[in-house]
Amino acid sequence: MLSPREFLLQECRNVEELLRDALRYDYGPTGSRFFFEECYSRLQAITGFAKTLTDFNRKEIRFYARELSHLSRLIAQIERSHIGEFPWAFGESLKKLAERLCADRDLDKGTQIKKAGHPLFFIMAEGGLSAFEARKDSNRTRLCKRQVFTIVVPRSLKHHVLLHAVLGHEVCHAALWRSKLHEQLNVAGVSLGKITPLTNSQELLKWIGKACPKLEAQFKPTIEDVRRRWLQELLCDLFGLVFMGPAYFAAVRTMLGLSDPTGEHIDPSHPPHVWRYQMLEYAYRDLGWDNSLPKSVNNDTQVAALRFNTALFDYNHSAMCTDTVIRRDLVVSATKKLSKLLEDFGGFGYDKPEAKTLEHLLSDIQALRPPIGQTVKTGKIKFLRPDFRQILHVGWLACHTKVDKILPQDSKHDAFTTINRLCEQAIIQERAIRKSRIRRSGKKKGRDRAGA
Amino acid sequence: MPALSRKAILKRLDDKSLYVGPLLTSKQIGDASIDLRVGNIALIARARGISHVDPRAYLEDQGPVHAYERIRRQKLERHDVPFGEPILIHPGQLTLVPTLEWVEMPDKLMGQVTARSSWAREGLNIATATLINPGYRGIITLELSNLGQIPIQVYPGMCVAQISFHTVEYPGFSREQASQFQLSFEPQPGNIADKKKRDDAFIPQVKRVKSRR
Repeated sequence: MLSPREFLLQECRNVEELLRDALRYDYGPTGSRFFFEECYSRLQAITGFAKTLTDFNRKEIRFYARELSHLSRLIAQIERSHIGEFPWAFGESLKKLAERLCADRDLDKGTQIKKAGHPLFFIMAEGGLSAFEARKDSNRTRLCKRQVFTIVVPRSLKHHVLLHAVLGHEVCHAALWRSKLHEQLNVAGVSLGKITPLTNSQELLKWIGKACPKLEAQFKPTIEDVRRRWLQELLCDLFGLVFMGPAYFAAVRTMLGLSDPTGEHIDPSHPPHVWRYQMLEYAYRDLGWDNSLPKSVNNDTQVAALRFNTALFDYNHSAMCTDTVIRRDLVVSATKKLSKLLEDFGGFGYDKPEAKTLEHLLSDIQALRPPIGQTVKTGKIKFLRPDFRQILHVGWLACHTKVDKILPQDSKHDAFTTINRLCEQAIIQERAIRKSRIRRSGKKKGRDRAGA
Repeated sequence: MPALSRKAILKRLDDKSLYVGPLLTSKQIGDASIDLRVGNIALIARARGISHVDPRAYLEDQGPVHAYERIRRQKLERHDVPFGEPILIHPGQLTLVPTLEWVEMPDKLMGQVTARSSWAREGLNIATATLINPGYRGIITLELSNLGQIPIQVYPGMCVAQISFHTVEYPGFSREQASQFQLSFEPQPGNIADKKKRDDAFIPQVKRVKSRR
């Protein structure tokens, strides 16, 4: 029989083999090297410490065994993350922002964010319709150099990028954990308790007692936890909207509608959906996204925008005394602070495109082409260069037009899938446009320097 | 069947009666063609896939769904290849890749896809289906084949092919004809036993033996 120390060392060798084996797979564009290096460095540290132990260091053996177990779980997750199972171009665009938003507060004390201080994100697909999730690297000890987050997306929704807008919410969950952004959220006054008038758990219990008396006794023992969780979910919703734009609200309405069509279900982990809809509506209106488009924009775009907004706000406003819990003034104040914070943090907030840009991108989708806004005039090629979040916004607008009428007969896809795939294609093409522009401007700079 | 010149291509792109995009530079438009770039998916024959291609397997009503789908899915391995990652094509290997460009053909034009001569000199050939029907819209599938003796590495985003445009006499685009690959987002195996074209009449039927109970 092996002693605990011998088994620990044996397991270190096994995990090393597992790590090397994980390199057989493509688990993300440009990402595998950093994951490998982070995991390898953690493993080296554990092995190094384990070798110095004796069988009598039981406490330390237990600690390193736990670390090793966590590492092996992380590697197994990475191993299961295959690039063909999620929309990689969307994932890359989101990761680029999320890595900076979730920069660890401990790793950077200066004003400039260092590359090494950024957390690592990897994306994996899992079964289940509501599998959207951001998993934290919860076992953070001195052995970890970089934080590792796992973004989980439903496997069946691989091409449905419009629904992936809900990941804005998950990025906030990741950012609320030890990040610089979290610190600044508190400084700016966008903390958990400032979105609703439910300032303490007893008030929440009273509300539950009123809305559903049967649940009062069940919720009583854990009411403080429930309140904390619900407020966090509301904050993440607000963040998701300001960060991802109107596409977030539409994706949330679609996803949540499936699990609870009335939006009135009370669950300990999430606030009732009508609360969330109401809060998002106040924020949406405050951001001016519900304003009607100018008359210079064509009728199709105006009608699409109108229908889109109507669909977003179509829920039971008077359900569950929502107006007493979600107050417009508090939501508006939090939205303003959050928008400013994201802007100051590096322009992370959603930037609504001009009406003419919306019109052009929408007409692209209506002509069944990816919405990148290409124009060719007198031999010159121009693009509107939409951000991936703007592409999603336009995609949702297109869902409220008559795209299904122009789909070819015998089309393999329905209108919603077609719009999703056009948007996915546009995000890929946008990356190519960006890449070609960066390379060209880089060459120019190099030439200028050489000339100087 | 005259081919469109650069001037004519630009005019059609300008008035949107032809769409090819994204065109990352105007130099992509040649004297009588547009260069096409490699997209981000590669379909390559699977090492432990099916033993041979049999049109009978493409007749849907020949067997259970599992067998029909299994043959189609197991024949090719699908790789998503982001920008900056290579696609390696070995001598004799057939690799299906999409173009980065989305193409929309008007009813009056058809397209012809060929390899760019500089790549063809390295042995890279666009194997077969070179005609793009009037009225088609979607990505174009490039059937890349390495006719040389040494492996060739290509990267998504590189121009490897070109499309020229030709006018069609008496245009009358039939939606029914164009439907098999219409609105393609990625390369996919076609149906080599097309019932609409009565291919099935020439394919021997699989005899089904009733199992003894």
